[in-house]
Amino acid sequence: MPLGDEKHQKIYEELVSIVGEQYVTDDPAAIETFWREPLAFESEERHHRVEFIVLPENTEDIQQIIRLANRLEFPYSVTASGMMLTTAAARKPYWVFIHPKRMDRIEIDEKKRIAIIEPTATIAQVQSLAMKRGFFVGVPGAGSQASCLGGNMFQGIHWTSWRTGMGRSIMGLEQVLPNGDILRTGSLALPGAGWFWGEGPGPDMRGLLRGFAGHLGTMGVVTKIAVHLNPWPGPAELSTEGVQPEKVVHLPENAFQNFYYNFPTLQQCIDAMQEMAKAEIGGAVMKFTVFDFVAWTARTRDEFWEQMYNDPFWVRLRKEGHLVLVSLWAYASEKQIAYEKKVLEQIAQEYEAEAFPPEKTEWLKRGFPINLVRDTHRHRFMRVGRTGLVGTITESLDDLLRSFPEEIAMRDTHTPPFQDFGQDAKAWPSDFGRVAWTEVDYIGEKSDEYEELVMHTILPEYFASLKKAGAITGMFPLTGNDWKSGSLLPEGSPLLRLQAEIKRALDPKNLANPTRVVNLDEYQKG
Amino acid sequence: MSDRMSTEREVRDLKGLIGDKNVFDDPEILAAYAADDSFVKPRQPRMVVKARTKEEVVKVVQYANEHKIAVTPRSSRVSFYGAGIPAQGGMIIDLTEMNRILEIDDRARLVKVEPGVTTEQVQDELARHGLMMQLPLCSHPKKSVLTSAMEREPMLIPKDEHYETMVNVEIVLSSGEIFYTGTAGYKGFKMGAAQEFFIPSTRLFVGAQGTFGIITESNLKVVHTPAMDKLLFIPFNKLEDVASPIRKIQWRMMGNECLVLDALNFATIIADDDKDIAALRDELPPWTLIFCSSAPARFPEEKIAYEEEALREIGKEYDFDVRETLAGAPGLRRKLLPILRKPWSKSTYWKYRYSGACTDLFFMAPIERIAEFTAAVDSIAADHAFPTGDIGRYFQPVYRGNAIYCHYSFNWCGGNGKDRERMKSLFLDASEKLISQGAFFSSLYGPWADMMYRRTGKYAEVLKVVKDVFDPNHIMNPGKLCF
Amino acid sequence: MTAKVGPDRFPKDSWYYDYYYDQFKTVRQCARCSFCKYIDSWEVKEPRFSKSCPTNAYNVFDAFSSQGRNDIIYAVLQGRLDLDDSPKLLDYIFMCDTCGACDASCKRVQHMEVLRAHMDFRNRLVEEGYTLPQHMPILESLRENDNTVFKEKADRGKWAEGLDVKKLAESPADVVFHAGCQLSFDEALWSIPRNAVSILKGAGMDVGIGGAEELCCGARVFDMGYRGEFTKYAESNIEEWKRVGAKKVVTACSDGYYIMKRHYPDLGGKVEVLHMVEILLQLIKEGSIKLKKEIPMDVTYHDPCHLGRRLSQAPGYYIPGTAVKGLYDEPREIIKAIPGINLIEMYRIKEYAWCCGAGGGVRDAYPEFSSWTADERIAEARAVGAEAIVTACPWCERNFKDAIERAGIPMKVYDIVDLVQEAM
Repeated sequence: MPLGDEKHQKIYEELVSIVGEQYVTDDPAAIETFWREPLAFESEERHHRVEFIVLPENTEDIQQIIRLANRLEFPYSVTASGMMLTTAAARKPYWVFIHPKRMDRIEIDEKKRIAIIEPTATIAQVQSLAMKRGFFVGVPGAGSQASCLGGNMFQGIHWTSWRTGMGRSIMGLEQVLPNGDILRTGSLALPGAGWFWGEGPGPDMRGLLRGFAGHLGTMGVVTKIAVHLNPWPGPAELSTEGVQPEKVVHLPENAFQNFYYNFPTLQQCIDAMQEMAKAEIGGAVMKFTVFDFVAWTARTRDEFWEQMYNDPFWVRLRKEGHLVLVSLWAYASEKQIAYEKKVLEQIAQEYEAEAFPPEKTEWLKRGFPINLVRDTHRHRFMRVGRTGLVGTITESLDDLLRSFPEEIAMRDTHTPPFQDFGQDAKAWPSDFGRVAWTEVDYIGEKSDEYEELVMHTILPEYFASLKKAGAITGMFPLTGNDWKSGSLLPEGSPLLRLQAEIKRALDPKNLANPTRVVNLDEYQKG
Repeated sequence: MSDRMSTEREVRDLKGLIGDKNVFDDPEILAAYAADDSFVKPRQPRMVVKARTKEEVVKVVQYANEHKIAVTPRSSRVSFYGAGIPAQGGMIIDLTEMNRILEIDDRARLVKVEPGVTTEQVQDELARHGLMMQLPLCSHPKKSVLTSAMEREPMLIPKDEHYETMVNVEIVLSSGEIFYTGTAGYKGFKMGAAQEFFIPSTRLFVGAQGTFGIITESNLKVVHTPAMDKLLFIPFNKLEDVASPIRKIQWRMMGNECLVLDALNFATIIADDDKDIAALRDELPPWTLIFCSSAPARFPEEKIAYEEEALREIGKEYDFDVRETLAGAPGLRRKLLPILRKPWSKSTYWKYRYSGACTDLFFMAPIERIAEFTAAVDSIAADHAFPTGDIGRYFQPVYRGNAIYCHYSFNWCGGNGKDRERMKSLFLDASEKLISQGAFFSSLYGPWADMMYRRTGKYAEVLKVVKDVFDPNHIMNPGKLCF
Repeated sequence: MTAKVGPDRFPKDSWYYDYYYDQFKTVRQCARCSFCKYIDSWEVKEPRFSKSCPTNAYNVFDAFSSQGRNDIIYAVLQGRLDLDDSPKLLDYIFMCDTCGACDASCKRVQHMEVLRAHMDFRNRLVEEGYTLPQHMPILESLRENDNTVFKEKADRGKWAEGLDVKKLAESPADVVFHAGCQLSFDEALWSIPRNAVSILKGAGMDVGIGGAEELCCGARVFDMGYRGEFTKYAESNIEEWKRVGAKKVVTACSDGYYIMKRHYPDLGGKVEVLHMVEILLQLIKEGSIKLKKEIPMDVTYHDPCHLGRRLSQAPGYYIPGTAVKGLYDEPREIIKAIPGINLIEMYRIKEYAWCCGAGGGVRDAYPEFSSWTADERIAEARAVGAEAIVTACPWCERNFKDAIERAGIPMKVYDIVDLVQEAM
């Protein structure tokens, strides 16, 4: 039985008439399942709840829901796998949460090398079909059980971004606009052309819908995308051994080989990566830290703490390491691996790299290279705490020399009580290192004390740090709840005005995930 | 009262803003900007303004906005597709002399350029740093490298890792405000290399033909010049046989340059003399897939060896030959690589070598449809009594073979009479028919804009929303695209 | 005890170093990663068969999932949600077949015993009077007739009519064969206990059965949350086995096996509990059973939850970092020993097997959901080309038989006991 006032009742009944009673709820217990996720904090500011959850079946259902929203004036937001709910959590009354859980279809077009996917198709699902045909789709740190569409609309970053780039896998999309009309982009927009190409026609709409973090549903609801598939030199199916959590996957060594190096200085590390970029080797190259290696591989908390703080190798590297993981993939032939290995070893020697010892590389086989392909270690932090990280975008490998110390310093202002994780940081270089997303991790916990520290000390510091000239560095949790309009933008930029006016024109009633990206209410107040 | 009073006043004001020597209303000068090779209706601007600095651009644009004067930017001395022809008079803002190469970062592999930097200028400069820009096929030496990126001219090297040349822009809006995409707006970022950061991002401005603002600076991707190259040629008799090998080669992430030319285009670009083209065409294979294996400085022979071996394996699977030479073209490998890597160097631009004039038609297609679309082009040409032997064809795999760029060059005699009318009729007919069959025109010049936008639903509507925000007075290249 | 890094450092809670079960901390820790809804990502081969949680797959709303239940329980424990606030609360909690797939998937990345947290919550609901109306007939059947399948107690021993086997009411026995409610009353499955007894006797064991006097093991009501009822029956059974001097209890029912193996010892049960799968494999290896007849058939094996992952999920049995143990390999070895047979694996097996849909009380409380779950499993068996589905639990077998009948397809259902008997 619907609760709430007359408007609430009306919204409920109309939603039922669109999708059927079975697929709408305003039940208080069900509502409780739509606000927590790794970045969610439980302070009063974040204690917002949606009022309705609705499960559309297809694009037309979503159109009707959005048109209804305009008629009855209620706000709505959408998620795919729900990993970043804080970017979509309710901020206003009558909030309808659109969960496209029933929209999980996948179609692979081999010749065009794309997968046409709906919002809740997972990366593992898409990969399972793609691999059979010799392709794969990259996976972000969210894990393979996360939404493929969501991951590509947000960041679009993958462990394999070294080769396959960041944020450019979308070869066309279908989206319901805030007025309920359908926008199709790329070749999909032209009847008869079908899905195959993502640009244009004319000015490329992806430039409007896809910033570093996507539009977060503020310009409507994306209902389908075509995602570019990359070549996959591996087997048609992954073959496993053992039972969780002792399960392993061995990728064939004639197609995948991993190498792990520690460099004496960050400069040498970067120089070596530049050489790898120049030599165009590597299917994946990641600047990793001790925390990454240990968190990915340890199977228990015990093992994690033991390795991080008692194992001499990791202890030493935590203090003075600059670590790189290189995964060579045999795209062209097995000989590519032999060649790239030779080049890599030469570079490693030139830059005085220390290769990890065999007992460590053997241990690391539990998770490498398979997690670069089908990441199954999501919430690497969560086993031992909870997510915290300082993240930033960099403009080149050399820029790591700027960003790493800044990020580490920011974390270290709170170390203790954060753990001593050393002076290294992680980077996802993209396009052979032209740009990178970087992270410096720290572990929190689920406790009032931790939340108090983050909410009332760290986050305010984060916003203060954003004003620092030239830096876009800040402590996570960075959430849509916290982005204050204009706070992240360069000084003097007309960007806020442009965003606000575009938003206002496309969504005059400000119903599509209001307050995110640009908070129109605040903007209009001036 | 002079019938040019308004223009005279504006010219005066603009001279006051940026100097006497930079504003022109001489009829001969205006005429030079009124037309190009395309069938876009020739129209003259009322004045031409040359800007050499960002500050001058800002002043000019602010003035134009205040007085609602249309502004058509021109960064290139050459114009082929009509984007730089003013549709509604106003001014041309000529940026060809705003041509500094601002910065080269050989480690980040970026070059920061002003709009007037030409392909010839940038390629020469980059060579001194061991770098090169991935150019489109035989690009005109006087073409703005920024214009080329804005027009989405495809690179000959279809690598994923180097895809999308234009990384970020500094753009002057009609209000005179300066807007940066990517990270460029942040003082601490040297190069601004993140393509996407906030919305809107760089991609929105590619293909925009200056309708959202004037780009005054951009970072473009460059690559290290390979230490060693080996060109290989795969001849085909039938175009239908080309699709699968292209896919297979690209799916193995191999090679640098990879493109398909028909005999006419191939002959046109490699003939030493214009008069040799016809004979050379008859000797070359009907279709040639040109593949270049390139290697950086470390163990280059080994890289080339394994790529060549892999290519020959694909050849066995798809029953094609991999050759180091082609009959009728001695010294081809030595001659061809510079042609592919540098702007055109002969006095007559390659498009005009065969018959004096050339009309181009180009679009994106799935690889498996190239034979279908080529047959359609031939059929439409025949309907217009245009000899199919005079059509040059070029196919460029893009983004590791995700799709293919199809380019048809209709070589004709030029002129303004009946021949032109026939050519125009063929061009319009072919464009319309191909679009209706699903040929995806992503760069929308002249009549293509209307042909596409009337079919593409809400796309144009959303663009108009963006346009209204960026350029409320609609002064930026009005009348182009859907604006 | 692991190396501590200082009480002044996060995490400060010892739970993050020396794991122990805590319901509140468990549900609080949930990060909505959604692993609980899918099988291990490395195992995904077909999207259709990549989900692990039948409840979530059927109902779609996330309230029907481990993550959803974590959120709900958390809200209740924190006082943000009262048990009376939601008319659907009982469905969210009880419309779950307690298969444990969520628990196995969660432990991939976390140290969290989510199934235990949910089962404890069920128990709390029952104790506080928040009972599901659909459960009442099951409880009544139990109270009135000592079974959970709505049959007359007097008919419990009919499966053994004509079978030459000791009745425990009359004689003691070393080995008690516990048939269980399903096998006792489902006539279509009587060959299983009959064959089981024959095999045990043929192996020279001193076997006795309860017959009409046999009581329910209490497994079903335990999973439903009625621990009080369970305890009564468990204690009665333990007492009875003591009385007859039993050294071993053997069953062919996985539910029964699980509860007797994992929960009876806490109540004083000291007999060794074995499943027929263990006995069969031992006898085959010893040579006491000779599999002579060919069975040329493509079969697939369904891992019953209670014979598999549930064994590692019982309270006190979770050892972080160790494999989700179960009897996965034993039945497979048995099958492969049968001449002519071809074993084809489904997409979801072993610790990530899809449930048959019979557990947790849902077969009777939510029959449509239960049927749908079984239908999905049969579709999976069909998708791999199996002519027959083999398993080791009568609840699974009944659900599969019904599903096959609904689908109108000629697939066979075998219990592993019957399959072995056929090959002997």
